[in-house]
Amino acid sequence: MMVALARLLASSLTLWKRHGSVRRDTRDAIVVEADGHVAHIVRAAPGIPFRWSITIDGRERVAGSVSGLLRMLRSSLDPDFRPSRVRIAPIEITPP
Amino acid sequence: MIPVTVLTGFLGSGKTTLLAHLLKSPKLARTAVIINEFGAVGIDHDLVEAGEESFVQLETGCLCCSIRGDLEATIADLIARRAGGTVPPFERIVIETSGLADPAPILNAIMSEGVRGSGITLGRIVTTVDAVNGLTTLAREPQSVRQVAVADHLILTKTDLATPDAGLAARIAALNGRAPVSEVLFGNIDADDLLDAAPHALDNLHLDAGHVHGEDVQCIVVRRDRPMRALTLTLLLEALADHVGPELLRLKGIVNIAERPDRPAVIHGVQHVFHAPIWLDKWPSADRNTRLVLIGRGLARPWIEHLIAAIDAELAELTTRA
Repeated sequence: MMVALARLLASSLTLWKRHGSVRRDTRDAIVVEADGHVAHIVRAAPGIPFRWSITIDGRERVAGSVSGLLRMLRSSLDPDFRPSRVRIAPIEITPP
Repeated sequence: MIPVTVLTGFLGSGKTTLLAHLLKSPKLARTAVIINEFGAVGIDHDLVEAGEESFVQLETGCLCCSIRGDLEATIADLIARRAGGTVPPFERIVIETSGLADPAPILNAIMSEGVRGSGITLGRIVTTVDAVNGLTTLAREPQSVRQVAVADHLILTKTDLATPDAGLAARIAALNGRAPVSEVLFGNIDADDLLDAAPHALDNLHLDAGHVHGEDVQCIVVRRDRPMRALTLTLLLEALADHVGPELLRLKGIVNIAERPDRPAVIHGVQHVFHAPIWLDKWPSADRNTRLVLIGRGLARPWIEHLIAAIDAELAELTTRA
């Protein structure tokens, strides 16, 4: 999971045109440094209804999914970022 | 569902000529035509003669950037008037865009109306390209590049005035190698060839090109040989909307959903607006791989592939823990 996440974060910096780096700090932590910001990403503590804990410039936040984590990270790194929430008719998980 | 065909193409590329010819076909009886013309006074609608069961509505004075709200309102109004019996019971809508229009907001408006449940669906996107000026136009006008890039069918016009040169063909192929190209004189083409193809046609998903570059617009193809969880698809669309939504001119794909691998899901989106998947009864060919085609600016295939991999890994972890 952490390997896949680190790859995604690295390619996200490129997509977002942010200058920085992504490294795995420990087996279960990722550090993102970009444009003067530092983000530490770890799995959230057990027992809380979130998946990820993100400490950005000393401030801790939580995200419920990889896509939520991405949104939160970019919001901190890119002042011009305005997420476009998806508009979609209800997805049928299985065919009718 | 009422299909909405979008007829686009740069100024003077032959859209109105094509539309006028098509509307003479009995196959296009019961068509509502919306013409968007730049300028306070439109004349294109006077050049288009509709049959008894069809009619033309004119929108003037605006471009794609400002038309979106107007277009959504026009479509909603047409649907309401159709239900109320104050207009003929049309079975399709054709929108002729202004030649200067960026097609993306227009497609977005159509998709948005579809999402609201108004009973319309995005049909084919037909783009005219002038054989005389097409190459120059594509070099100078970014909107024309986008019009070509999103097309389902490209119509090469004015080939009686100039033989299409290899440069134009190569440029078109580089921008949009998926869409068939038809040479058409004076709009003379069978309506069946343009409008009656099934919405969300899958034929142009059968491509192997990794990606095709224009200076501005890219086409990226993502293939995946393993089925995708339905939730992975949902989260993928959410992230695409978040991070590349404004730049995503078009997304279409056929997806092998893990929960029902026997029934492929066809997805279709513009910018951050997506239709609910259309479930086909069976796979159209032996190729059961998921194929996603994304057309837009600033897209990156590695990012999309890494995104899918990370979402997959997260869902696998959650499933294992459960």
